[in-house]
Amino acid sequence: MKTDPTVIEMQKKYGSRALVLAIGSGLLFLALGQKEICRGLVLGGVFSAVNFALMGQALRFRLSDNRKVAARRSLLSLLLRYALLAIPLVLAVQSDRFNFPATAVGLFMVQLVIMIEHGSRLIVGAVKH
Amino acid sequence: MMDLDVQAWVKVAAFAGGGIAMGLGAVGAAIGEGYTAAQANLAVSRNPKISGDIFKNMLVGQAVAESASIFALVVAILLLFLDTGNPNMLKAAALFGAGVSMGFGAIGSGVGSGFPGGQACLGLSRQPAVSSKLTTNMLIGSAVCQTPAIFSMVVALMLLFMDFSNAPLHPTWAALVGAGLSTGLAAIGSGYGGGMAAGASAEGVARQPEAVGNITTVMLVGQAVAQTPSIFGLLVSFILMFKTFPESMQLQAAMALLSAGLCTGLGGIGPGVGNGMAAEGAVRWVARNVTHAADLMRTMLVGQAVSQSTAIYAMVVSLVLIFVL
Repeated sequence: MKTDPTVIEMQKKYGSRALVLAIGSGLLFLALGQKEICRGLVLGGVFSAVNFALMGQALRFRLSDNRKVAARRSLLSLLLRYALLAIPLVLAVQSDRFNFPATAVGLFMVQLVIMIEHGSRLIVGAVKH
Repeated sequence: MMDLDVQAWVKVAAFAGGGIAMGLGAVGAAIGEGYTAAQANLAVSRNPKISGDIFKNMLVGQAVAESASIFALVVAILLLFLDTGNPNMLKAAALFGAGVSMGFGAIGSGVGSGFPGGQACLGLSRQPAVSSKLTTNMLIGSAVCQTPAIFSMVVALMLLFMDFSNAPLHPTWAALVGAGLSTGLAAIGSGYGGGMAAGASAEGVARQPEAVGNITTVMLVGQAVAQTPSIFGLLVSFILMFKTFPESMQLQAAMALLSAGLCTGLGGIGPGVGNGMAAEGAVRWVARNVTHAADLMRTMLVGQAVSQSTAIYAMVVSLVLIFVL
């Protein structure tokens, strides 16, 4: 089974916007001389986008006629995604090159982009009315 | 030798706290995401033509519902890898309390934020034309659901980074563990209850799209009141963390502080869920009878106030345990 093209489009849209937001805000901090915050935001943002892409793409591998196999694959996929999200956090906590709070904020970039998009729509709609 | 023992205890507490934070933190989000997926299946079977839209909505809902477990992951990684600096037994208690606060605190928000996602998928199958309104309503409800988990994370980070080394070990260790329990446990009911209101709101928007303003307002008011027990939990945690307790080797002094945290924490679970039920009812019926939205909101608020009283009793007992006994 293939992933629906509209789903891939949505993942590309939010993933790329999350990266743009991470890099944009990172550059802003770089301009202010905060290299560690810049690196942390970009690192977290990259892993946030990859996690969101995996959420959808891994689904078709989880679908199976056998319920036990599907449950095993789902659990494995969940564990893999949490392990993936742990990588930037471990890197940030063990290395001075990355700011830990900025890396943690970076992990929420996809969620932030979704909220900003719908929040701005709501505000624009309210202003128009 | 004594230094080595203390260092070992700090590591033991940090590892146990990290395990509790991530272990319990994964429970709620996984259930919430599973609920969203289950409702998405129902929605696809009802209206297979828009399966792509339902699938997209499910993914967005699940991404937001996962936030609580990512908070838990952040705290767990900090507990496992952070250099604790000068190790002492109070630090060990604080680290364990941080794990407890985050682990329990992520359960309710994780489960609760799955409800709006599921109901939005189901609503989309009934009313594909209002997908934008539905998704926005789902995201607002889901985001507000995360507040109790954020309270828990705040307490966990304070326990991780504040310096308690000047306080006496006995009974402050119990106050720090109690602080974690108070906010963590109280957040369970509030997160779950807030999710019930948000789920009813997404269902209501699909039923009566033109009443989206009234429905969202009642949902937000209902969720705000449902979060009061977790605010009580946060208040008791702050008192336990910031008050200086006189040194006492008596076990009852420590147990009074630990019980103060447990009392508000456990006492907040029921009122949080109960307030969510009241809000869910009000939001659901506002969608069906929008002309009586004001009456429904009044009934909801009075019902929530009465349901809240048990959380107030719990907080009063906690304050007696902290200040009187």
